[in-house]
Amino acid sequence: MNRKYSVRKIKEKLGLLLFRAAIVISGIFLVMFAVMIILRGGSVFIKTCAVNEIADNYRLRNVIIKNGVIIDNKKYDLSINGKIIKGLLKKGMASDIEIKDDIINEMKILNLQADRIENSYARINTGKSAIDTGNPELLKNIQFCIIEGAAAELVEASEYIMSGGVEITKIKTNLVFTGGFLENISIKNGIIRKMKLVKPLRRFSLHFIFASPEAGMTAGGIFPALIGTFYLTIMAMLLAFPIGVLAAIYLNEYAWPPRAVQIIRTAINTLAGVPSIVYGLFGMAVFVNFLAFQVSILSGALTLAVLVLPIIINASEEALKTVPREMREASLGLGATKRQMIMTVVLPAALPNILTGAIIAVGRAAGETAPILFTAAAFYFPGLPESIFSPCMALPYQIYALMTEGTARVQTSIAYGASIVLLLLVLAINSSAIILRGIIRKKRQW
Amino acid sequence: MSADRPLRKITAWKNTTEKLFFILVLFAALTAIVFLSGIIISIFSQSIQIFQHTGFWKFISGTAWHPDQDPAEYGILPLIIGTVTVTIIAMLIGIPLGVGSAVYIAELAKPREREFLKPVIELLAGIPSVIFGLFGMVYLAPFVASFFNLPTGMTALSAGIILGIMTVPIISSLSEDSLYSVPRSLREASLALGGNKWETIVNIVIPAAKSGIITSIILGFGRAVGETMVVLMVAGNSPVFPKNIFTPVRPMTSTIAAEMGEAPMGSMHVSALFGIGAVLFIITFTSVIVTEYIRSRIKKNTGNSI
Repeated sequence: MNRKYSVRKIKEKLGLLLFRAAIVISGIFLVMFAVMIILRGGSVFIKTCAVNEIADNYRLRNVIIKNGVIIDNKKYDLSINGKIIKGLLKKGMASDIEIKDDIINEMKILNLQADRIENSYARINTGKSAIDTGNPELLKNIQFCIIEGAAAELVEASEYIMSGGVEITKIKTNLVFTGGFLENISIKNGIIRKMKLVKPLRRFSLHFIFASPEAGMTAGGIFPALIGTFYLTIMAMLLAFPIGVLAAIYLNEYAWPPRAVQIIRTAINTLAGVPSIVYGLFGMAVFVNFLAFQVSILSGALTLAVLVLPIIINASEEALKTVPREMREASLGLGATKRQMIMTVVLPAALPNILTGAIIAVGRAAGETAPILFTAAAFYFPGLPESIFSPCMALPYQIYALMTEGTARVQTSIAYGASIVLLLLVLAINSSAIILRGIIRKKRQW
Repeated sequence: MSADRPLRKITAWKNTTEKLFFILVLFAALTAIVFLSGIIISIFSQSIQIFQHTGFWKFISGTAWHPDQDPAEYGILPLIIGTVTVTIIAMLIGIPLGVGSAVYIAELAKPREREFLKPVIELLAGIPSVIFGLFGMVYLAPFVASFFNLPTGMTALSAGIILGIMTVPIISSLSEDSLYSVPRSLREASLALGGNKWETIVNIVIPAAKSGIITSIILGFGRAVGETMVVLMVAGNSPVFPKNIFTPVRPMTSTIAAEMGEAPMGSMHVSALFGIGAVLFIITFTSVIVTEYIRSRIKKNTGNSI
């Protein structure tokens, strides 16, 4: 008896431990997930600016400077993703600069709006076109500043291997500066005359959110994508919310004839289970092609509206169910018609709960990617959309496109930044719904 | 307290406004049917071309997917196998973690813990899938590659793991609801008869909440089958038969997403992609019907006692 009891006890302990383990494992994974995304993406919100010095003479040999910004030696104002550059190159961010034997062999200038390129020998690639200027003799008095995220390095290496023109796979280092960036380097006759190692001073900046993408999605911010997502979501909700609430009123208040109700319910359940990519196909076949709205905000919003409709109906119906029967009876007893009862008593009472459901639907619509792939999304459509018939950028699609179609490394960090914004957006939307529900439950009179 | 049955008695039915309002809400509800038939008609009418070309059975049992070869081959069995593989892995992770954590929250957690965990789980259910995809691409895939010493981490396994984690909040949230609504008296009866906590949970509470748990699992399954972005980003995009779970696969959803942009308008290829959509639709429709059947059966068996 005693032994059996202890076996039971152990079994119980182990069993309960299993349940505990389940939640701990899920918790660990999801926390890890959030932390990693934020760690990686956080850098886009950090504006790097600067102080402090090292000055010395170094001979430039086989130096690779990655992701530098060419600036004026006197006046500069740096911002991440290289926006403000004065002096030799105006508004350009130089990346992948390779200096070999005192000559800049290759330099990519991103977002080039240079009105003056002088005193430099560089082959400048701006996407497709290449400009060749200057002659090697003029590589003098050129100023470099390097930023790469936050930490940059100047590497003087005697041996290095290049792969793909940019990556260093093996390096034998003589001198490495990290955790800072360099400015005011003046090179004369191949010798660094002046150099300043600047330790970055980091500041939080919202530039990333409120700026347009630049240089073929390698720099700048995500504002158009944010606006695109906003339009799509708001329009989808404007379309789906009234229909959803009215449909819920039908199902919960009238529910007649019974046969129709059954069919409608099955239809709603099916709609709720249809994969989002199938919605995308439907939107493409019907809105884009058949109704000829083209790839546009309208098509995308309509598709998303159909997608969130079952969510809104279900949530609204649940909300209507919580309104007590007594309230209805009282209303009818006072001589109200059924419509009056619904509009003046039931709907106001259920509205907060309906809104909670609607907010969750907003979060869903904002985060969906597959339905807008073929109906609304454009990878690069800078500037704000002019009408509902133009395509738009959208945040979730942007993340996907940057990760899969993008080539440049910087795009990964932009994708991370965008996903932080999207994550915070959706979490904020959903938590406001949860908080709202909490308030309603506390305040409820019945 | 709730209105279980609507008030059927219709007052002042003669009133025109009343009628118009009824017609308005009826039409709003009918939009659900309109949209559903819209989906069915648009998907199936576009895929008729491919079903006539290859035949439905050959389409779903064909072993080669080469839409851009000449002659093109449209067999989606490798894609179906891809979906099945990824979904099975996802369910192997999602069901134990989801149901386990639901049991913890409903039965074992202290009230304050529950108050915290419940909304957190709901929040997690709302995380956009593309962010999970990003995570899988950048962290999980390299980890899988180095851990199992594979040439690429973009495998069925990685996609399955991510999908599994994604379904945890869905399964957990719904299962918890149904576990929590199991009447206290059942637990008390079991405890009074000498059952311990584990025995009560396994023998009494879980069977009582069976229908809700099964529904949540089917919902999670539907999510895993229909999820596009994660598999598009993580599964490796290789439309061939997977030899094992460590090879890249391409599930049905991601095939549509990946190839629709390249396929010329009105071509057989587009029709084949719509055909995949039709198959996906059939799968989800079946699972909805199965859910409703299970629900109604369990209701019949257990009666209204619970």
